[in-house]
Amino acid sequence: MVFILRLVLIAISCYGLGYIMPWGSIVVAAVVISFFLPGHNFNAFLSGFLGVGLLWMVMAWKFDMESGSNMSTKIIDLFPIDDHILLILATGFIGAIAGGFSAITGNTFRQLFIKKKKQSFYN
Amino acid sequence: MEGMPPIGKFISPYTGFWQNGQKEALELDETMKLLGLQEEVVVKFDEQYYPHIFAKNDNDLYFTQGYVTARDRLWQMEFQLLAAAGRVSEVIGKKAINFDRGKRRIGLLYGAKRMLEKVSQNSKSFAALQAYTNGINAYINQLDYADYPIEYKLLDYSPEPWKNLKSCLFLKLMENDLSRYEVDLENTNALKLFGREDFEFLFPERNANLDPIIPKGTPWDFTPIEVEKPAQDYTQTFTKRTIDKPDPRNGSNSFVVSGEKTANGKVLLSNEMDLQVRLPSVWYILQLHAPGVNVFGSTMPGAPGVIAGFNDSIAWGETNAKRDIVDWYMIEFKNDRREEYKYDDKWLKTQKIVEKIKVRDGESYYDTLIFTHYGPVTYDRNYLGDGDRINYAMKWTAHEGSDEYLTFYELNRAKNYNDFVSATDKYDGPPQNFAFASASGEIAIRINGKFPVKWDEQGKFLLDGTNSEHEWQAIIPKDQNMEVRNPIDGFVSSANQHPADSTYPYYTFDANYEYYRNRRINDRLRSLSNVLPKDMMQLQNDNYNYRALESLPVMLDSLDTTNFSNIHMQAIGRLKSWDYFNDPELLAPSIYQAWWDIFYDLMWDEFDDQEVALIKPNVYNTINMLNNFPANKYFDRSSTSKIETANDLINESFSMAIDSLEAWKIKNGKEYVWYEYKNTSINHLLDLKPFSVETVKIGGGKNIVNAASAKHGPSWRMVVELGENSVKGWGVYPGSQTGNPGNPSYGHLIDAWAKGQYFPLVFLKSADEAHNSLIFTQNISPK
Repeated sequence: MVFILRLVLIAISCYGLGYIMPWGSIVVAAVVISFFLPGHNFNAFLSGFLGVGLLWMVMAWKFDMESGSNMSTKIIDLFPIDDHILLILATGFIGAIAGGFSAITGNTFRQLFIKKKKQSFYN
Repeated sequence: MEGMPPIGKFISPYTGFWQNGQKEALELDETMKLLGLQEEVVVKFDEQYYPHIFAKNDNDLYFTQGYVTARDRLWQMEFQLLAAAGRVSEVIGKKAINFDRGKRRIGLLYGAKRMLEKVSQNSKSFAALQAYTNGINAYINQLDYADYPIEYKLLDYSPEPWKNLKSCLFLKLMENDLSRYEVDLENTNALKLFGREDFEFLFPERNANLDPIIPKGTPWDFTPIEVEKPAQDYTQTFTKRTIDKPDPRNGSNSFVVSGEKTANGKVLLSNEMDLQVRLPSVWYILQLHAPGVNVFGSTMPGAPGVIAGFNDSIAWGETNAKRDIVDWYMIEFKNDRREEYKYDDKWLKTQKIVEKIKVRDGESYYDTLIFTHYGPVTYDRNYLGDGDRINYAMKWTAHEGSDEYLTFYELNRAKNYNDFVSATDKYDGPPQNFAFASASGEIAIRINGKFPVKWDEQGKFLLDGTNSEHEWQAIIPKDQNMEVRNPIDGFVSSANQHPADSTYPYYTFDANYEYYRNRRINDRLRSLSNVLPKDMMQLQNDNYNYRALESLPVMLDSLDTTNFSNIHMQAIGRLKSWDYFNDPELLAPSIYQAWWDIFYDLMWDEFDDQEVALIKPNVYNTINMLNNFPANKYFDRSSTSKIETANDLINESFSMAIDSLEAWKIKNGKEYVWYEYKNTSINHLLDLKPFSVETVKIGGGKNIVNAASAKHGPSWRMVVELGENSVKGWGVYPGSQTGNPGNPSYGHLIDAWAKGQYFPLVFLKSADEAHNSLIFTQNISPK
């Protein structure tokens, strides 16, 4: 349940932030949300990975549709990619990697934070 | 392109390249507010997406011109000036350092600063310039990374504020492309190497049938300024390598036909500029309407006002007025510190400027530039100086202050011939042949620019910087520059040829005058009557190969066909039945071109293995030698023991040409039809393949009226018909208003351009005029 919630929250906040903030805001969003909604590291990673990855894929597809693929069909000729659908997948993958690692960072950061507290208790 | 753009922001759907795609050519809001406008502005767009700007004052007019131009072309505007300022290394890294040094050493920025001082002194042109700058900045200031043109994202840098100085630098970039071509140092080498007699034979200044711009026999009713040639000959010196030259093909055609020769009695003016054809295009087409002005025509992104166009009273155009206005002075420094240089019996002080060239991902490069009163010492111990042997200062009119924007400001508003004269009199450079037609039926060409008075051969060779007698003594007064007005022939024309015959009292040397396009245009105009606009268009697209006419018959006659194969005979058959038109799908023009190119190389082998910089004799003179001096010693190849004549070279080059064409066929997997063989391509400024349009199906070629050669050609074609209360225009160019490769209209006019089709130019009388070509209106109000 937390997994789904975290995934959706990351996707929604990144969706909104994307319009008003630089692309790096996805990192902040994923870190903050995973900090407050902790879980296993892999679980956190996957929610960031899928949350941002799916969002970016959908948005890339949306902007591509809206622009009649007029830019993407030229960009694929500049890079070693054959198809603009692959370019959409690649966009999703880059977003996914960034989202996944940001989520795991937020999650781990919380663990560090909590550990420190425990240590201070026994001292 | 080096490396990759930063992946995250480049690929992000919110900010990256995904944002640069457009479904529709115009995706604009119907209303908009801009800080800097004084009153409401209306911008209407026609089917070619040309904006028609209706403003209530000059400020808003030029502000909006700057704004809409930047909206379509910002990256191009900035990038071309990075090149002019020698700042390309900032964006692409250390491989551009030498390019940047070269640009700084010819002093384009130095000239731009002096131009800005001059423009600042005139309230009208300065106000227009300032408003234009403000408009560009209004656009830049509202951009986020997501809105940047794709090229910024690919190269990962940002736009910077526009400045008035940049628009002046833009004009200096035009000076560079149009008035800097010269071969003074190559001439110096050739004279020393081949001797006076051979030099004059190989490089004659003029030929018998020139067909100049000013008709032969035109009287000159003024007293010219006399300058004395120094008695002492100057000892010449060799130069091993010279600086990069602008493209010698840069030129233009313009012809104007008076009402006596046209079908309906109205005058017809045509103009087309032959420049590098690139995407984004060098031209941006628009209409400017405000109290006191209503003008339509071609503008250049970076410069306020219309450069060539028409209003309801006049039409005007330009072709490049070639003339050697760059000279080189040998400088003698007092010592190693280079603080003083010799001038007669005095020592004059130099000025040192350390140029800092910023380099992306690397350390800045410093280049010390020495200035003399002549100009920058381009060649010195740090740059092509052959050790410390040569120091050449560059003297160029483009370094001196002038206000060309005032000329265009006034031309845009000109009502008649007198206004035209007054506007063009203020013009210094790059020198142009200004073509003129008026609704009242007048036609004219004025050759205008700042031309030094020169003694015979002054500046054709290296000059002595220590001798004041070698200085330019005076400038030709503007009213002594040449003009032809309402001639009895009923037409005027210019195509970069010699301005006049030898009776003009001033020395007018240039190494690159045109010999073919001008004669074809004049031949046609003399024979035409009842001229229609479509005849003007047809002549602009004329593919007649004058060079072939004058060389191919003698080449074919000299062939010994005894041992020829079928392939050879087939090629000869094609050439014999060819009518000399370089039409796109013919094979004969390719055969002729391949043959000529190889022949020319064999012919001038004497120039290949020299250790000093040289320019080969021009095509016209080569053909002249072929026809009239076939046994001349220059036909002999130095690498063989046999003594060759023209005949030998023709036969040898023909076989080589057939071999090379067969090889071309195998390599490219298709027939060498002319358009494929010459390969006119409209490349993106960064030569990125997906942003370029390659191998356009167009005929013509170098020295042909339809001057479309590889990466070069007619960059804007315009025909205007003017009569009392009636003005009509047609135009086309190889590109699009938008510079965005992600816009569906990117490059959309190229097909029509290649086919010789034109679009009517929609010239509106007011913002309220309805016209079925108008597709969108944007209302802009002050913020």
